[in-house]
Amino acid sequence: MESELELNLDSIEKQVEAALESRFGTPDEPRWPPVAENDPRWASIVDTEVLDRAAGPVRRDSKLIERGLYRKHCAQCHGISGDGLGPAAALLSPYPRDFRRGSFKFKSTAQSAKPTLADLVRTIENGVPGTSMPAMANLMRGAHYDNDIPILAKYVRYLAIRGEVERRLMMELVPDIDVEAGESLYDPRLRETDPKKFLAQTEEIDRIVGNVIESWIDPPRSEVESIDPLRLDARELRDDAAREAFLRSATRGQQVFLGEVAACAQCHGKEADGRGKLADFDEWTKDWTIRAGIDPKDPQQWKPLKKSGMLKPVLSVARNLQQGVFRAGSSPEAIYRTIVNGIDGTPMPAAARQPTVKNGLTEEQVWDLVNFCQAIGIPDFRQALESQHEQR
Amino acid sequence: MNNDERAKHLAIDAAMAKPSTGSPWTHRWAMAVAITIFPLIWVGGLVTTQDAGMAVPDWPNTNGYNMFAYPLSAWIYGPFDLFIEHGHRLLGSFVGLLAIGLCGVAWRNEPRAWVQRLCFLLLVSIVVQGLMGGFRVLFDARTLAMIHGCTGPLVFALATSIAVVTSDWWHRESSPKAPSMGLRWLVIWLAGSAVIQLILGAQLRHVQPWTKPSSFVALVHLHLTFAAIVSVLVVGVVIASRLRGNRRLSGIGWPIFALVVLLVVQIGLGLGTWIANYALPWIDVHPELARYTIATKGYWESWVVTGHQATGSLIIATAMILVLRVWRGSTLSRNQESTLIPA
Repeated sequence: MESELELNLDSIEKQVEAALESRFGTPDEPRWPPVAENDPRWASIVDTEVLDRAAGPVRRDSKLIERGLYRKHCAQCHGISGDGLGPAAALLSPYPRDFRRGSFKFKSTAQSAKPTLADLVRTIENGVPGTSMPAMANLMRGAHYDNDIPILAKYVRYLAIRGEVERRLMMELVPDIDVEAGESLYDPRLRETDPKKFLAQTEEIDRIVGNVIESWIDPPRSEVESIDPLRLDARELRDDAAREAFLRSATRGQQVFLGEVAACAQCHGKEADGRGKLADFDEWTKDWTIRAGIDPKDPQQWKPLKKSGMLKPVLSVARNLQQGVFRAGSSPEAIYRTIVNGIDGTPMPAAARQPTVKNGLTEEQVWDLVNFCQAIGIPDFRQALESQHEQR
Repeated sequence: MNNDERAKHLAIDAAMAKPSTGSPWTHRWAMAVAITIFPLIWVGGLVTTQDAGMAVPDWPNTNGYNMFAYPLSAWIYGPFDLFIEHGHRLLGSFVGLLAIGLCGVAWRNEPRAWVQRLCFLLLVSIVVQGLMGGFRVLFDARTLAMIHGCTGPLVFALATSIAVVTSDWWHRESSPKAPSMGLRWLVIWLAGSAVIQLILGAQLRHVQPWTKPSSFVALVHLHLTFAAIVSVLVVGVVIASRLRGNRRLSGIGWPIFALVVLLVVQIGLGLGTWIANYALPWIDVHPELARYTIATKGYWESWVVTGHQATGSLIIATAMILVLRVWRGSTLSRNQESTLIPA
């Protein structure tokens, strides 16, 4: 692919861009990397219909098939390439996700693992309460829209792969290249002048492409070890006995919450109102600051970068659990997963657990903590917990 | 009452009794055009809200059919974006036909050449507006869509203006007092600011996906600044109209009242538009706010966002009515003064 971009490869950034374009095309004309088409497992991640329907400008053809779904529903915030730098990005709180990190917060898979397609569909369908991420469930209405959400989810997966390849090219290959000594990351002109070198370059790029795609194949699920009778859903407590059992468990959970092992209160506050002492900067803005050696607390250092598209560094705010809103899901299983896996891309860590950590939490303690998290968001239970805590 | 005052009142009575010029049909047609343009603007706004500008890929045909022969069932039961885009085209054509009718009526009945020319200008602007909408589709040009969205309210204001200058009020009214110079300029500033505000809003609604966040932030701040400017000017007009010199001016009371109501509604819709598009800004105030999840192109969301745009058009049209009536008042008072000067 001889594009205008490839003729201007004087900077390493341009070479990365050209390498990316040679594998993934452009936002208007995206493609699935040739190396991925040869492997049926990799080919299943994104099909031509997804790219055809989701990418490019918004339009509907005479057969009533709509295209440009991503630009219609997502690009305004997430940006045309999924870099989280859409036009509205700077005004949103939290900032829209940068898919290029390949890191997703709300999922049913293990810590640091990629989400499943169902996880992405769930987030797109239900939205994220209290944020700018809308629920698109209304798109499911009507025969003309019934496939839109899965297509969007697959396209998000495609953009995440494309973006992560871009990041890994920058982080893994670029540091070893001495541009001034004439070395290059990707130079299509070598195809004619030095085919062996060009082959080595493309193999290296395709290795990274393959590794990124592979991480999306069957991501390990986060299994929930349900313990009876501790696994209780606060919304389905049928009688007083169940309520008392739930409150007893939640009271124990409160001790875990305040304790040093789980250390939840450090960020979420002793009242679980999100007013803890510890606060870290938003992980998604650290590429521009901490990871680039720039102090996010010093505006003199980061302000010049705003011209290049940097968003103002903001603190990652711990959730106010008293609101009873759990963005990753309100079921006991979803809360359990959040506690044991943490939330990728945020300061919320995975809980230290036995037997991996000698003094970590037991399964019973995790479930008590789950029940505390549920209880603190329900006014009646919160009052009961507060009065018990005061008595103690 | 001294002789001067008696003579003044006699002149007013004479002016009031003067029969209207021309046929009332010109005014009725102009009203029909203006009233039909408003839903056209609303549906056009819905096209933008739903990102339905390219829901029909061809123009002037609709999916290969002659626009007027497109099967009703395919239109009604088709995708919603196609429903509104095709509906916008049909309604636009209907407005065009009404404008042709207005030109015919004005040509037969309207004695004032400049009003006839105004009617013709309205027809031309509606045709140009239609062509612009068509070329927006043919070239898939979002910028053209933005211009089309900005000029639509101006066409609406023009139709409203024709309705004002063909009304009985315009012909019969005589003003014993001239509006103060302050009021005259305030209404012009108000109308101008409302137009600029609408253009800024159109920029926000037609923002390109590759627009930089910093540009978007600047646009939002400008839009908010002009919201404040329009609000201050409306308050200024209200105050100026209550000053002693302007109290007895007729014909400006209801437009000013309408502007105040529209402004309050518009501020609410503006806030609603932000919430519908980008969520509630104060989720920590109450748990219910933290639970709120916005819906993509939801039913109520679309009404609020589109209503914000349509109310902006109404503010421009109402400001235009006010401009015409205030300035007409000053002309009439000059005419009256000249009739009262003894020979």
